[in-house]
Amino acid sequence: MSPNIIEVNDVSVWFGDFNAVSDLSFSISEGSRVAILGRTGAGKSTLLNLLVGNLEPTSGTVRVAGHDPVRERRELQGLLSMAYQSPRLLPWRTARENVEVGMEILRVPKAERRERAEHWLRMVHLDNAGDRYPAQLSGGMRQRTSLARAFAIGPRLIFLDESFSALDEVTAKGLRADFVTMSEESSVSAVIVTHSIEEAFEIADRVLVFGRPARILGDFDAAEVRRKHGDNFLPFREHIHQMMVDAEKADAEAEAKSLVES
Amino acid sequence: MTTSTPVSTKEKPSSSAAGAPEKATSGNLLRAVKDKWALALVVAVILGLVQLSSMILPPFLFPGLGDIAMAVVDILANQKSDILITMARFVVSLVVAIAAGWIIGLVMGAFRSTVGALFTPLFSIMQAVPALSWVLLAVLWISDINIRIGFICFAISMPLIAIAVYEGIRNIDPEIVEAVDQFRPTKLQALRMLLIPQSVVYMIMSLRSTTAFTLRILVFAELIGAASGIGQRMQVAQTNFQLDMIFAWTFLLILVNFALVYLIDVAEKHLLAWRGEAVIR
Ligand SMILES: Nc1ncnc2c1ncn2[C@@H]1O[C@H](COP(=O)(O)OP(=O)(O)OP(=O)(O)O)[C@@H](O)[C@H]1O
Ligand SMILES: [Mg+2]
Repeated sequence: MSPNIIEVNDVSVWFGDFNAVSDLSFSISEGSRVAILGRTGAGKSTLLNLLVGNLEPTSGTVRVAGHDPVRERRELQGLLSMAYQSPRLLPWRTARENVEVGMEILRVPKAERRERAEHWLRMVHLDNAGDRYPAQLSGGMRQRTSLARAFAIGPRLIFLDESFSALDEVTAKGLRADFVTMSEESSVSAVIVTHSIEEAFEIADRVLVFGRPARILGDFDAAEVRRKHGDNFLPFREHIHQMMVDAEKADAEAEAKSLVES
Repeated sequence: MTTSTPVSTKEKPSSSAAGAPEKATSGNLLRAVKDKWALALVVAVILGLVQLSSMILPPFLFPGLGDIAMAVVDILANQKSDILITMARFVVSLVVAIAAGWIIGLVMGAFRSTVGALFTPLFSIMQAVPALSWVLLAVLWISDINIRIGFICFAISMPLIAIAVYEGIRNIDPEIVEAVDQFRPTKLQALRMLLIPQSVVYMIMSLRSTTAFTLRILVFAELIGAASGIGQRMQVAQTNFQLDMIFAWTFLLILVNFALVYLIDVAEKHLLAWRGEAVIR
């Protein structure tokens, strides 16, 4: 078996005549935390849909833990989980019962389920809120619950789709730190989709910068970037920003040119 | 109907229902009076009008409050069995209608494009049939009185419940469905975790109107061909010009309706506790 938990080879996605992903290839090794950084509409969510098996690529192949996520959907049960931009909790379940949802589906015995839910609630600092319903939790607490739900099944791979972007900066920072701790403790691989440059370089060990349509503009070792630019991040941030803007400009020009020609 | 309820930021949601700290009992009493003043006023005005009418009109057209009260006592002393029979018919037909409506609504929701598509127009037509038609047809079709009454109540209330449950399932938030679906549940697990709890909300909402409506129809159905029950008693009272009895039965039926609303409130408080306090007003 390959040591890569994710392999994406020459993948393109077309929605009608709209090109959302263009000839994308990359792999992610087991145990790493990779941020996918891109502007809105870059095709980040589309990529996640490919990886969790909600969408089949128009061409190319996707392998997650050695499986085709669409054709071998069942085989991936229990290996993947995801947290979204909004918490997406079941309103009629308490925080603890929400954390148990995945384990319930995987038929984890009741006592163990409960114990593991308590553990993950502790990890996200919600030890005292387990009996509350989502309507009785703050936005940040709900997002913590949804992170706990994703970790509770003990997945090999976790996806985050802009999971910190709806929170205020202080709350988000705290939760990002917790996320790093939790992923390291459970040695889970993670793909974190974000449009925040700071966030990407703060929590990942590798950052893939995406252009629009989805393709890789840059591939960074985040630890190295933190070492080199940690004291003075702004110029580097500006550099990444410019990279995305330039790519967009070049695309727009190329598109205009092809329109003129045709 | 399931628009997101405002977030309660209270630390201890189980404390006093109105949110304000508990005061002395006199304070609570005052609040109860304040809440119910409109009801009290309306009741007083109605009673006053009844009494006034009885003084103006001859007694065989309009009984006084005293006569009505006597009739109520008479009923409670001698005709309890009719009340019990009607209530038993009511409970049995409603339970059957709820069970069937719920299951049918769930199946409609699980197979929207086939079962859902077929039953929606069927139920629309059934709901358009006048209650009187159901009663008249049932009298001709079904000779057993209890089955006949059950059939009428079923035909009228079951579609209301099925449609409400179906509606609830169609309104389920697709984002939440996706969040559960990521764990790859079986159909049965999805039913248990998503569809059933979601349908409970709409179910209870629909019960508010369905129960009262069903009781009215049931009494109406007992009017024709029944040998017992509140409707039959009212019919006897009508043939004998016992207006006090008609008023007394009406009074009792109003009480039963209020009791039903109260029961649904209690059920709602328990089953929909997760919605926070918005729903309990
Ligand atoms: N099902 C679809 N049909 C047609 N177009 C789609 C579909 N899904 C996505 N797109 C388009 O593909 C592009 C990429 O969408 P995607 O949601 O992947 O972007 P994103 O990078 O996640 O953006 P954001 O940061 O705003 O979430 C967008 O232009 C979007 O309009
Ligand atoms: Mg997105």
